[in-house]
Amino acid sequence: MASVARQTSRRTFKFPFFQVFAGLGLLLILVVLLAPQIVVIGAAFTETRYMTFPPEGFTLDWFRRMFDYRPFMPALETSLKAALGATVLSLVLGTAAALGIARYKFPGRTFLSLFFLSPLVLPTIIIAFAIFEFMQATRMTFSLRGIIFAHTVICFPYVFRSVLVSVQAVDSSLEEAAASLRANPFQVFQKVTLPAIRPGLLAGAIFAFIISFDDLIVALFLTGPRIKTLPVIMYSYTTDGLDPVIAAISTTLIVAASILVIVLEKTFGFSKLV
Amino acid sequence: MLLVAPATIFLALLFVLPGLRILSFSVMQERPSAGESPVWTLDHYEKLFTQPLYRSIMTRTFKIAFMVTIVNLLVSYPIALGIVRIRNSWIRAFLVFAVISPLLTSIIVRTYGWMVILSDRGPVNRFMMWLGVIDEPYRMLYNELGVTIALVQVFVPFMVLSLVSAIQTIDPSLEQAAASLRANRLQTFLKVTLPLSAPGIVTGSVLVFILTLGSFVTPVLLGSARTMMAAVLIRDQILGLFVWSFPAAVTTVLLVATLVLLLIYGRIVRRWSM
Repeated sequence: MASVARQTSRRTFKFPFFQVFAGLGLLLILVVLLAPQIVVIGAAFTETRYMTFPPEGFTLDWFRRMFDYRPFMPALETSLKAALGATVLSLVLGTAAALGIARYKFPGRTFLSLFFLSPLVLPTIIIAFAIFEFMQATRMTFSLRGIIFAHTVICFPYVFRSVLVSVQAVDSSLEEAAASLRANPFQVFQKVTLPAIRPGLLAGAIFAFIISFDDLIVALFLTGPRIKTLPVIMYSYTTDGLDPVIAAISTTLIVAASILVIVLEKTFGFSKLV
Repeated sequence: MLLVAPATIFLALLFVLPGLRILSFSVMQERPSAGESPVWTLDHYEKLFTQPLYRSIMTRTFKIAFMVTIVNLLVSYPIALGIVRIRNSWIRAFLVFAVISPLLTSIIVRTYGWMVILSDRGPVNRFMMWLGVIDEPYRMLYNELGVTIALVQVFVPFMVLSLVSAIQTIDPSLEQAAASLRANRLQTFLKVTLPLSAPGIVTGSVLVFILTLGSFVTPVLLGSARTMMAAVLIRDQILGLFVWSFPAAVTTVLLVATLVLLLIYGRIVRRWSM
């Protein structure tokens, strides 16, 4: 960079229109990208009875009211349980499927891996409708078990994809070497494969958790008066107007997600995840 | 084979079989109860394609998906180019943060943010009135403009990630070669960078188009009856009117559109790889 700058300065000074223009454009785009998150955080501290930005005055009252809002804690609990359940189930199904696709050759392998990824590329409303039909037939609607199964359908492809990428990066001759040293298949997986695919597992698990925790469409079909996830109560809260309580809940979620990312970054390094 | 079996059975039970049942409901009068034999009919498709209300919902869905994809591409390309080409690590890190942070923020939260920003009393309207550009608030909520703006922001990360992985594979020396042949910046971009990043453009566009086709949260919160989109229609019919066959027809149309798109995409990718 320095040498380029020196070269330009030797010539007659020209105002760098291109760079300034491009820089301003990029800045504007970034503001738009970050705007909704910033606005929601700001609106959580307003003293007015409606959400507004910039906030008028400063109060922490809406955070206190968040806990007073009766459906909040049970919904948070349901969402956490559902996300945890769906992540674990997705990890089991996704890792097995990724190992099967990567390590064994059989006819229809390409088709099968496209099939496993299909919930990623089909509109979620279609998946929600299909799962709703299944739950109706098996009478599993309005249960935590139903939500966990349903979320596994939309979370599993993320685990499958990220584990597949990391399995393919593992040298399979290492596994063969372990097997030739009389390690049984389970030992091979535990001692050789598992440590090597850990970043893939972690990335998949994070994606699965976020997708489940954030899902509204599928949950809308499966929740009822007795069981609701956090996105569902946030969605139904809108009928009561744009009360800043919803901004307080949102701010809490943003802060929680940021802490999670920072902890993961410190522990594992984010570059390995993406 | 044993490894891929659980995932295959799981997806088949929860998603494929009920999905096929839904497709069959679309040509029946109504979902048959146990023991009832179905009455076959094409009425639902006729209703969908001829009644102005439903036809306008379908055309609007595809129109908004198209608009969102185009605007998204224009916004995302400079960001992706910046992430790959900018050498200053601080600016780069900030760009990556700006793109990743929406992914970690609930889609409902972001939509609430847009409700505040675009409302009559929101910062955009107040700023424009202060400037004197407009005398009274310009309506951006509950119409197609607001829905489109918010959908672009919601799906920018998906487009940027597709573009980044394509632009990363371009050898910078090709651009330097073009520059050494006296191509100016614009020519270099149009003749070298843009064509070489085409795979990323196509992948990202197909992804965003499909995601928008099935989007629910944003149109339902920022839209109104006049801006209804297909996914909202499906939800209202099932959970509001408790009918299955008509929404099944809407679902079938969305599914066919998605599959056609993916098929064309597959063709293009295969031609490139040869």
